[in-house]
Amino acid sequence: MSSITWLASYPRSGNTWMRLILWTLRHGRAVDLELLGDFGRMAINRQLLDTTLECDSGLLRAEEIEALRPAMHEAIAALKPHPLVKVHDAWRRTRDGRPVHDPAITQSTIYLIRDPRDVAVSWANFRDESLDCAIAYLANPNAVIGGGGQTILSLAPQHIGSWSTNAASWIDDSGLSPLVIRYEDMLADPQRWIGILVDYLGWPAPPEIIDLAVEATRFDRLRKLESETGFAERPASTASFFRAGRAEGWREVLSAAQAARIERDHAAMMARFGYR
Amino acid sequence: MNSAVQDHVLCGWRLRSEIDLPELPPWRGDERAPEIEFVLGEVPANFEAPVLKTPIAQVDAAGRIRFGIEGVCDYLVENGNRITMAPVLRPEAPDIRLFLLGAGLGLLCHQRGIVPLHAAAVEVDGKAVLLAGPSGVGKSTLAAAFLDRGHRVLSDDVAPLDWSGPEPLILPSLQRIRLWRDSAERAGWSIDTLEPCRDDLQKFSKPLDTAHADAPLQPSALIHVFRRDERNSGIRFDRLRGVEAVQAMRQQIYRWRSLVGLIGRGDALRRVSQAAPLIPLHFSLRRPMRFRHLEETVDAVINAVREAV
Repeated sequence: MSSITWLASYPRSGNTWMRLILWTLRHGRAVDLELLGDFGRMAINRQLLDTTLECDSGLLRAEEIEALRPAMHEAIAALKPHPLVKVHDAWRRTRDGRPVHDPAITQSTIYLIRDPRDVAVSWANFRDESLDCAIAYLANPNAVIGGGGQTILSLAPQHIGSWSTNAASWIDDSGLSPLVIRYEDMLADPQRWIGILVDYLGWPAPPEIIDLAVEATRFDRLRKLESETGFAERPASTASFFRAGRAEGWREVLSAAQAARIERDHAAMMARFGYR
Repeated sequence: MNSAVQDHVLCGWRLRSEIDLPELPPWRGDERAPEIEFVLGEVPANFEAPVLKTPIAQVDAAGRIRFGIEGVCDYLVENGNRITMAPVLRPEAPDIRLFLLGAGLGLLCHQRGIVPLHAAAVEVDGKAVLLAGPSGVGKSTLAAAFLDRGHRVLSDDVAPLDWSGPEPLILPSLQRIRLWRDSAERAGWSIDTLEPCRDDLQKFSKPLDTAHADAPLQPSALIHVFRRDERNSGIRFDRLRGVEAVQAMRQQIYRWRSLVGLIGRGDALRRVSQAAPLIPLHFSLRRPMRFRHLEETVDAVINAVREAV
């Protein structure tokens, strides 16, 4: 059985940006948003789910899908050579104790982490919610995306947890020893961090391809592409998927009290990753 | 049990069932023997040498298919004429019929050489227009919008294409439309009076009664429905021809991997490439998914089909 590379992160932490970088590295040419397609899509993408299971997943209850997820990931690992799978879910076990993201079918794991103050600002924009809502969401250890069940969504429900528990689940609990990349480091010195990334993955990537990946995925270019062709993964709640793509933007947006609340909610994990 | 009372019609076939199927009309045809049987019995937990195995479904070299929804029911589909059920829930639970008449029907079609398309089918100018796409793309919501405008509906999810006779035909399948709560509310359904498809699932089933097209219709168009980014305002049709139309249709074959398991990839592809030209028009339709665009989408579909004919 070939094995999965998990590309895990809390939402709005550069996961799609990283998929675009990895696409460029793997294909050796500049990605555009329409080429990305199913590359590194989530395993719980409805169409992939239905094909993998040979079942109408829309007719399954959330808990039935949850129970099937380990087997589904196994099936994905068996179907494709070395699949790359995006994840916002926290690492966890099903009710009967099976790891949803099983080390036995894992080749490698990348965990992206971003300053939760910037994540909160980005999440509020993305969901068209208030900053206070977003801040409360980041602190909710039971947060689920798409768990409402009023309609069929393009993704099955994701149990993401809080910003802190999401990071701890992958970094500390999973036993997967992920390569942890800070969004801010990736922005500040992309050449260096893409180099570390390809070493970790064992992908051959000559310097000119790394330079191409950096250029092709600059936020000004991604924003321009999005304004020209749109982006299929953009939800209706936000005007654009790719926003500022910068670090410490929160300083101009959050009130002192809002920033303080995030710092209090996530003190330990923030200190650990140098978010002061 | 008086079996004459129990017999139903499904896709024009005489069906005898050991469980009640309130969503299917009674058989009022001739005295022929039942063509399909749904029975209660044992279903093997695993096939010895499956040619396809997923966490839900298995196909074996003898052309049998088993699928199981844990805690609901296991199903064995054989010979294109028989589904055996081993229910975990009580046999009258709607959950059992949901998978029986969904996946079960689609798999029976494959065994009978009929092509089940993952599509809603509505009547436009006396022919069937197929609105195809994966779950969640809005097939049933579009079918309900056609229904509001007085069009009859042949199916809301799986449309069987029977190409064995001199004319290709879309068979009428289930006499109901199922909508998720948000779409059902938009359509003005009074949800309190409707049966949920399953407990704890916000999807509701509404009988079609006279709005159901009860006879097969020739297909006029296969329309592949996609979601479009809202900012690309407007609705876009692209005509698909030749190989492109065949490849697009292959994406809409309901339970494609099971078909490949049953007859092999080469024959499955041949089946699609022979069936696709029997549908005169193939389009892709890209449209914003918001409910407020539904009316114009219905208009656009009707116009596109009429203009191309």
